[in-house]
Amino acid sequence: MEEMKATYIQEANELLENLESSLLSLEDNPNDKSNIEQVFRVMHTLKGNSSMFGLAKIAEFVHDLETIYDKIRQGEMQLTREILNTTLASFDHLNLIIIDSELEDPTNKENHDQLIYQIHQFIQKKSAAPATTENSQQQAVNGLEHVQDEEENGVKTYHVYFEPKPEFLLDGSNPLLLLAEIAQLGKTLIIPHFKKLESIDDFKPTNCVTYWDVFVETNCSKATLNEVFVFAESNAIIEITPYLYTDLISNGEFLEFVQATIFKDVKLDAAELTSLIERVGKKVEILQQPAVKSASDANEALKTAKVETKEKVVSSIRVSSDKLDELMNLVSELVTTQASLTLYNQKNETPELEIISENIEKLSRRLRDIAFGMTLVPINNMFSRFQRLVRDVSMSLNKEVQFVTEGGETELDKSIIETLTDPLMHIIRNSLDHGLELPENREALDKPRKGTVKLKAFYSGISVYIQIIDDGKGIDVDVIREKAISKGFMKPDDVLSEKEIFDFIFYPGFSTAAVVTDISGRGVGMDVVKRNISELKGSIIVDSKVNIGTTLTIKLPLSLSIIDGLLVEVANVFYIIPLSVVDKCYEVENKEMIGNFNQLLVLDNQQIPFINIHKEFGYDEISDAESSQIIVVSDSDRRVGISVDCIIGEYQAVVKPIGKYYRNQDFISGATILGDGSIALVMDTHKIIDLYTEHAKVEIRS
Amino acid sequence: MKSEHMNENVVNGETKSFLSFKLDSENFTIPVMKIMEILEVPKITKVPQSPNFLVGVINLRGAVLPVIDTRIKFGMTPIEFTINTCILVLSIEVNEEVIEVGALVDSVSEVFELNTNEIKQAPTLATRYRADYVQGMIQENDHFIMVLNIDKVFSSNDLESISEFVDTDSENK
Repeated sequence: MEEMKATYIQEANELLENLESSLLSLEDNPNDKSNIEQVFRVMHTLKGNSSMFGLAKIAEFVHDLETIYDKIRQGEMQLTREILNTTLASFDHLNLIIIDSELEDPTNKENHDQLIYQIHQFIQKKSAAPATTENSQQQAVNGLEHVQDEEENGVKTYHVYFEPKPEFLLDGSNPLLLLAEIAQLGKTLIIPHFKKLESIDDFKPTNCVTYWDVFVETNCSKATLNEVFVFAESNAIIEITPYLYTDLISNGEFLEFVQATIFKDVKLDAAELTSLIERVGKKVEILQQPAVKSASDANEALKTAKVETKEKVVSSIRVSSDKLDELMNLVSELVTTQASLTLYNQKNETPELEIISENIEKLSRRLRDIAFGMTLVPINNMFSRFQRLVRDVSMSLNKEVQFVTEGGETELDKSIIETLTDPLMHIIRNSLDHGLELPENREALDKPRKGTVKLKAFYSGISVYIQIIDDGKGIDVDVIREKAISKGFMKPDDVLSEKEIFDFIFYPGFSTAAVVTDISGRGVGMDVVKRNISELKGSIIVDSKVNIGTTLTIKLPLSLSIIDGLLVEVANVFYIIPLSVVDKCYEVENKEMIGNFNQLLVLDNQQIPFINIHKEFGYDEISDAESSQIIVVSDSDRRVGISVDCIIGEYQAVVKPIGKYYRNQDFISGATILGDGSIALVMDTHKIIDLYTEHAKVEIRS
Repeated sequence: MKSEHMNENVVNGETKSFLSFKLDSENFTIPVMKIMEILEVPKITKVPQSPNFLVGVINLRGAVLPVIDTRIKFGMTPIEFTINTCILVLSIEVNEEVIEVGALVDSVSEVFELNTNEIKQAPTLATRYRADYVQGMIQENDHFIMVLNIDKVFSSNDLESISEFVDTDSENK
């Protein structure tokens, strides 16, 4: 039972997450039917799940909420801000009570009752003014004229009567194409009829003797339907009648009625049809009015719930990340084994083996791509979480904010996304709190009242960039500079670039409080943000213009485990240098490096410091080869050359940890296994450069 | 006399399998349970600027396994690779975390069963090795086999103290 409950909670959490994002997008587009449908569906599933587990209190609560959205869905109620606020409050409440399903916590109980009261208020308010809606429905059924010209988007069922004249086919028109066109508009039920021939002599093969009754369930307007027949109008009798009911076509009684006429020369009697539809329609209404007390409805709810979960199962399944890790490991092993098979085959050249080995190579490459793809998650999951944050924070700050996300489909390693949430949340809070001005102040500055915070993600090479852009007041370089001087981070006469000055924001102890307004909040400073991002092997850059806005750019590796690297060799040991830092490669004669006291090389007319890896790694002083390769790598703003014996080529490396024993050798960030089974060590050029500069300092001192 | 004493004690305690191996001419043993597998020596990639007892890393079917020169660990001369040299892949527990490490040994001798009661306290003064490395000794015919506490020997936490130990030892020589 506990296990079942855990499943329930897990599913409920997922549903609630889903609900939240729909609600928030509903806030931006209150008239978006598909979102209302989505909200309704999620609530319905949640209700079904809850009653399935016997959690009556939750089920009842959700049922009441659902009633509101059902009414909105039916057009009986308008979605208002109050309703949304209550729904979001209910959403928070649901998050709590899915664990405390019996409302044992008194505060939960209190909230519960209060929310139910509010919800009932909404439902009653609406039933207090039902006259108009009822009327309009009455009119819809009886006086069809009213609906006909309405261009609203709601789903309607149209009855199309289509009778081509006998000579319809003569000019090459094909009625079936028209019907196919209608069928594309929505769910269709097509009933063909044949005209009765008095005698066989009357039969002319070129005449059209078929006519159709078509029922189409669509949200298109009548005009759209008319357009279908625009070229057939002169040659056929076409009548289009709209009905308000939505699931007429799947209704049993209705089907029975119309199917009885199939292939017969009977026109559907308009009056009879209307009365039938009215009758059936009422039943549909009753069915849609969910009365949870009745057993049949509970069953219905369960059924729908089941159907919906079933759909979910097809689209995605949950897999524990341990299993994924294991799969990744196995795939890497397979790739390695396959590489040795290829190597063996090259030596032995057996044609049969070659085919097999090539096939395995193809398969394992595809398998590798898929396995690696599985650990990538679209960043959207994280973005939707921020929607809520922005909404709540901006409300409490009395600021009007438009939150825009872009590039939500960008995929990142799951573990990166998890670590990234907190820093991003902090940055967005900062933007809202310190960045954006109050609406009045914005107007005074000729800016739109509503501030914009934009979260943008995109790929570039093997990196992913995430930008947080606001159009707020920006950061004043001079204020930061003064602050940095007063804190002793820089001297008054230091000449620093704007970028370097902005970088002070990330210094521990550099409070932005003086720079901008009040709260900063949760004890996570920008220094922690920066640290978190560096832990992900990423970097962060600030760019800001006073009164125009601030842009924070975070650069991250696509995945922590695969990198594109440059495979090089130093003293017969293979090394990988991440391609992301490689700038340019040069060939340099060894004599230029030996005895080069200032450790500088002139490359392309630029003086570039270099690190002699041979020496630094303690290998014997440069081999007898005449020249070395210098790989110029960029490390933040510096460019530094690294000397290696030879460059082998590009290599996609699966980086594996080399273990705790080597924790003092952190300039090696990991190891990767090459095709022939040998190991290449992955250099962390940033650490190597730091190490080298420290070495140099020590040397100078001693 | 010692053997008599031993026989009296075989009453209780559990029987475990042990694997014995040689470092130089001395015999050591560790419980078989701790050994994942025994490998021939493959190509070892040395990590630059690492302590000398860390020989490097090897490719263990797709995983990267650090390899330790057990002889240096025990203050002997570095291992000389012969046809008998092999790597014991050990699973050791450090700070409640299980890690795998390869230990280079000169040769593997045999697997035998032993009642834990037969393990004698090693005379503290007589041993050349750090007391916490050695769990005890057993006597076989006329020679002794050292029973190692491998969690201690190979714990990576011990890096600094080991290098000190190695240094002082080499100075003594």
